[in-house]
Amino acid sequence: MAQKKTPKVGERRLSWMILFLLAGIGVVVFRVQQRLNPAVEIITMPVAGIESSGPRKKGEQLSVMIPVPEGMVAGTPLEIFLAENLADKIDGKADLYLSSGFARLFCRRFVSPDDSDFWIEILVYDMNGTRNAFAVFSLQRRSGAVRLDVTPFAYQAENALFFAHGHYYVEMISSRLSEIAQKKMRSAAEQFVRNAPVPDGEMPEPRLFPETNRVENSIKLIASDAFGFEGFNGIFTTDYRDGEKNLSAFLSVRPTSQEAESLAEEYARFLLAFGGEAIPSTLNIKNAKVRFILDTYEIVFVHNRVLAGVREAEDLQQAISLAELIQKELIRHDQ
Amino acid sequence: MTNDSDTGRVMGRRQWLQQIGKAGGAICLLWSLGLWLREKDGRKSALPVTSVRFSNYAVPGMAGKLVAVTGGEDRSKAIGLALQALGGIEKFIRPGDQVLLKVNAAFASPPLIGATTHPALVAELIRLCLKAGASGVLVADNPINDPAGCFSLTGIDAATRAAGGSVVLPKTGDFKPLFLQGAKRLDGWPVFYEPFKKVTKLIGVAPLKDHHRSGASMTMKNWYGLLGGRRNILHQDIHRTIQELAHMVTPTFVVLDGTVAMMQNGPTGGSLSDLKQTGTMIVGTDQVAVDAFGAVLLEKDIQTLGFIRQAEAAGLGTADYRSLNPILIST
Repeated sequence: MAQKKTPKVGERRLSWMILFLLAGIGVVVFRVQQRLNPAVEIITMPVAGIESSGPRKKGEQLSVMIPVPEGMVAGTPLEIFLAENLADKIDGKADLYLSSGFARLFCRRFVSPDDSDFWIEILVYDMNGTRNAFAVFSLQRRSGAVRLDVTPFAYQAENALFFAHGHYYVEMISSRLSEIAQKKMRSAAEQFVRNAPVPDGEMPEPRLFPETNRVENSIKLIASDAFGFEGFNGIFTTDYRDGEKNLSAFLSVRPTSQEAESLAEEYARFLLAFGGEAIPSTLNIKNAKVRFILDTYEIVFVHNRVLAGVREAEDLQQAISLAELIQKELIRHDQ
Repeated sequence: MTNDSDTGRVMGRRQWLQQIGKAGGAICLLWSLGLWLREKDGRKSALPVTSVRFSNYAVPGMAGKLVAVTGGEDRSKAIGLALQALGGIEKFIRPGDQVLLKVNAAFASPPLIGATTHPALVAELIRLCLKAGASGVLVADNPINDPAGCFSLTGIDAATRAAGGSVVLPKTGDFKPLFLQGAKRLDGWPVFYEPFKKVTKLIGVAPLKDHHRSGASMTMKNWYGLLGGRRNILHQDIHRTIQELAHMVTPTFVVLDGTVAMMQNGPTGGSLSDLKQTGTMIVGTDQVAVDAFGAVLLEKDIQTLGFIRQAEAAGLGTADYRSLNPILIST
């Protein structure tokens, strides 16, 4: 039987040296990886794909889904951009989409066969979820645009048309200002909705905001880091106008009431940490927290799984009234 | 001797050292193979050996000049008046100069959206430069996605050709690594250097826009279009990057076209409702001051635009544009 023998000191030292050397190599490799040479990346960066090579979801026929505006012809192949190269298409605005769950963008330009300067570009952002699509739609909503009934969330500007449809956020942009261009875009939007059936996305929050004094078309969804607070994701906001004063409300349905309560506590602490002052609550809402920060009042509270609150209120009484109104609306929806 | 517990075999010291040596040799071999393959796949050849730096294109005696023409929608007239107020284009462009106009052609969007440099402004600048005796005017930018399409659809290509200039579209071999001493972000970064080889004067021509990441896109941010590589990662430190861009280039003068301003949803916009008629053409030799002036038109607080504060702190210009006694012309 073989005899077990303790390694000698020299063997131990040699083993440690080898391990140390391997660890050193690991550190060097790690550091080099952190300093990728951008010149090298010219070769390795992903490029926009066309339909034949780009990714697609099961059963999805992209070229069919993007409709050809009436009387126009395709001016470019279908292009597909992923998170890695979205900035190549939209530069600095890519962050807005990437922080909201962006999956891919596919786009195509159509031109008039009679006039090459007249074109319409259709950009379809697959946002990987109804809420995400609504988030990017709402955060870019233009004031004063004409509401369309193509989908519940659609509007038309002088030269463009924007809408959210299920997990898609769609932009149609024309090179011309004309009634003809608007008509073509409207028709193409209706066609897109027919071509791309989507499941009904459950998004209860917009219905939970009280209607009294609410500013029309002001509901927004902030996908992440709402109000500068890291924990706030999926927060709906809307504006109110009470007399001459503006204020806003927010709410978000959380998975559990415990999470809602925990987030409310953390947000209230966050406001204090950034110079806010705690104001004793006189609200008829249990556990409501009132803060005075940057010359405005904020209220945060929880109702079952709903985290809710009021922001940027110049007047404390107005903030309290709105918070209590939200509470009443939430109770009404409970019944 | 050592005991291999799995097999029960006894291993001698010599044998143990031999095995360690073999294992080490195998690692070295694999490493060498990796290095060899890395060079074989062509990436090393994409890494240019010589770094480049941009010349100083400023005209002596013209530092700190600033002029704004307000009240007009005619870009050709406004740029003409602005340059006249600075002593005429001849103060900047001499006979025989080879001029480069760095425009913003980043997006394949029509001029009416205001996301790119307006072709009428490009055409007028080319005309003025040629009239002053320039031997040629090049127009360049690096829109990563479909450069030819971007120049065509923005109208810049047609305007350039009609006015007698030439568009330079970027090709892979046109990029060289930048030498920029003290730069944290841009030292070694590939830049679109090819069109600069024979250039003696440089004019930056930028639209006035909101920018989702940096707050504003004006003349300093316009140099971003000279970068190659995977430049979108620079957005992670955008203010420092813009400050370094201003450090990278000392232009002859810059033009900030505030005839219309993209007030929201920048830098791409897409809707006319993103635009506001601000009717102001700003021309200057101090990029920081020009951008500070532009920030006012965009209704941005300069304190929130980190790149302006950083550029001023780096001694690249002044954010207090009023201290330059700007010439204000109302049309």
